[in-house]
Amino acid sequence: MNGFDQLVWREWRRSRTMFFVALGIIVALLLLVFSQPQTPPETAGGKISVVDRMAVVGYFATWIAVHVSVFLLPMIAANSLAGERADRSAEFIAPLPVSRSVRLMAKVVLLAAVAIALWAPVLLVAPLLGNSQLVKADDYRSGLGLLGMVAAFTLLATALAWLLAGWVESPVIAAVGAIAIPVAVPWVMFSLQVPFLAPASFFSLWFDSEGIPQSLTLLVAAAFFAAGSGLYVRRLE
Amino acid sequence: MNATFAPHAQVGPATPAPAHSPAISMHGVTKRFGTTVALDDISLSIPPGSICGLVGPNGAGKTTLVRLLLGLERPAAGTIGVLGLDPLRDALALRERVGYVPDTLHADRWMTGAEVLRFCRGLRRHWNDTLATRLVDRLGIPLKTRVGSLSRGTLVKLGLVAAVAPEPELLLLDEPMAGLDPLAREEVVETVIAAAPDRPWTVLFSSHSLDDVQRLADSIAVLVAGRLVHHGATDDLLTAVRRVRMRVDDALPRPLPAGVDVYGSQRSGREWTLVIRDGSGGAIERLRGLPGVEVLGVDPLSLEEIFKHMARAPSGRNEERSQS
Repeated sequence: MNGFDQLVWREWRRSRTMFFVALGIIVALLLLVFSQPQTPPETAGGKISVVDRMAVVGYFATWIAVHVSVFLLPMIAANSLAGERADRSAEFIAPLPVSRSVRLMAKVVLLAAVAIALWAPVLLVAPLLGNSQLVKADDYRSGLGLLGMVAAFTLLATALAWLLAGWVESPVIAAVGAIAIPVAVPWVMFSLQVPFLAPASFFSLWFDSEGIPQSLTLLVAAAFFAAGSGLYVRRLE
Repeated sequence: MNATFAPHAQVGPATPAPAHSPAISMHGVTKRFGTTVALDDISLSIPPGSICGLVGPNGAGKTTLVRLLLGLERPAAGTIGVLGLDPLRDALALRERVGYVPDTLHADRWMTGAEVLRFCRGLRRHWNDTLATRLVDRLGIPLKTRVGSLSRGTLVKLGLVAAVAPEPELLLLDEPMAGLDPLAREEVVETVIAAAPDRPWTVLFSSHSLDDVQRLADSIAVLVAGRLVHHGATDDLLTAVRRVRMRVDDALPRPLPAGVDVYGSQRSGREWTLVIRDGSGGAIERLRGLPGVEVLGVDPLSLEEIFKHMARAPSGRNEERSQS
């Protein structure tokens, strides 16, 4: 595709500050965790293998990265779509010979690359922990459940940011709204005890397997993403 | 400063539109923003190879017209053809053949000048590196400086290089000279003239500077409140419009004789001054033939004066102002 690399480069340059700030937070939290005494946990009578130690370190690092992605990915999505309208740089590209769908694809590629960078490590480390003597089987299963919950929430918030950013001018409103709405909606339903929709607990409306199944969360996220993409492609700058 | 660019595929520009078809044609084009009519029933035809100056007061619809030509706005009514293409349906093919210079370049503020040009070049099929380098040197554009730190004049020059380097068949300039000092304006005008390729290229530029229009343009289009009140050769306009000073014994006859079409009139005691749209078609003779009317003098007007009269009386009705 003509100039696609330039478009992806531009998206990276637009988002890299946020990415590096997030990376700094991850490193800082990691240092904080390991500066505490008795971490990693001294268990198993001192018979902790190197692989186990690495898995624990990796677990902390990836756990932090995954949780940072809850905020980072919606922010990048919002900045990618609404940010270029807010700073009027969209007007710079609009008269150039590149279609809006190709421009959208460049944004998706960047967003996917950042998501993979944040999520791939945890997916690599998780299997190591499964066989580790440091982690109880029940803890491991609940940890995977938590991971799924965070993944679903991140996906939903990112897709909502994508939709809101295709609509509103401000990337800040889009990002904050995207993170706040999936929290606020179940809270309201929980508070009002809405029949059939009220979640069993505060956070469980969208992603708890005992509430609305995660597949529905994915479906809603896909719908948000498709709607946001449609808004972007159809817009004339 | 030397500007260097990596080798780039030199694909020849697309075949120009046939010489007989207009580079720009608009028929009955109307554009509304909500209840506001930005452009009202515009019909305009600009032949290939010509330079047309688009003038009008603020809010007249100049930018909207340029954006319609680029397919950046959708008309409410009418048809638009640019280089034989539909700006909305054939947007990508058209933009490959059109260069656009906005009033200011809204490139990402963190990009350097070199990055702006590299970015634009990456999205173009055709890009003349030699021309780009020559223009950058000529205009003294600091390529290592970020867009956010460049002056408005330098931004316009950078935008001009980005628009001209692909050697477009049509160059659209949307008030690039607004707010520039005379030296920078001069450089921009000189660049447009100097960058003209050997083959015919069409230029449409909107401007508040009538001097620039008079210097550059073959034809002039005047927009007032969304209506095209004049389009024709600049020289013809300067030749046609005349200021007639007359002494009138009684009241000025109303209506004026057929063929005497005025932009405006001004009265000072018994002396009247009329600005006539076309003084070459016997209108002045008809005024001389009126009873009780003595023509004292007939003078040409500058383009700026003509524009002011057009802007004040867009509909062509007699605008009478009395100083007595």
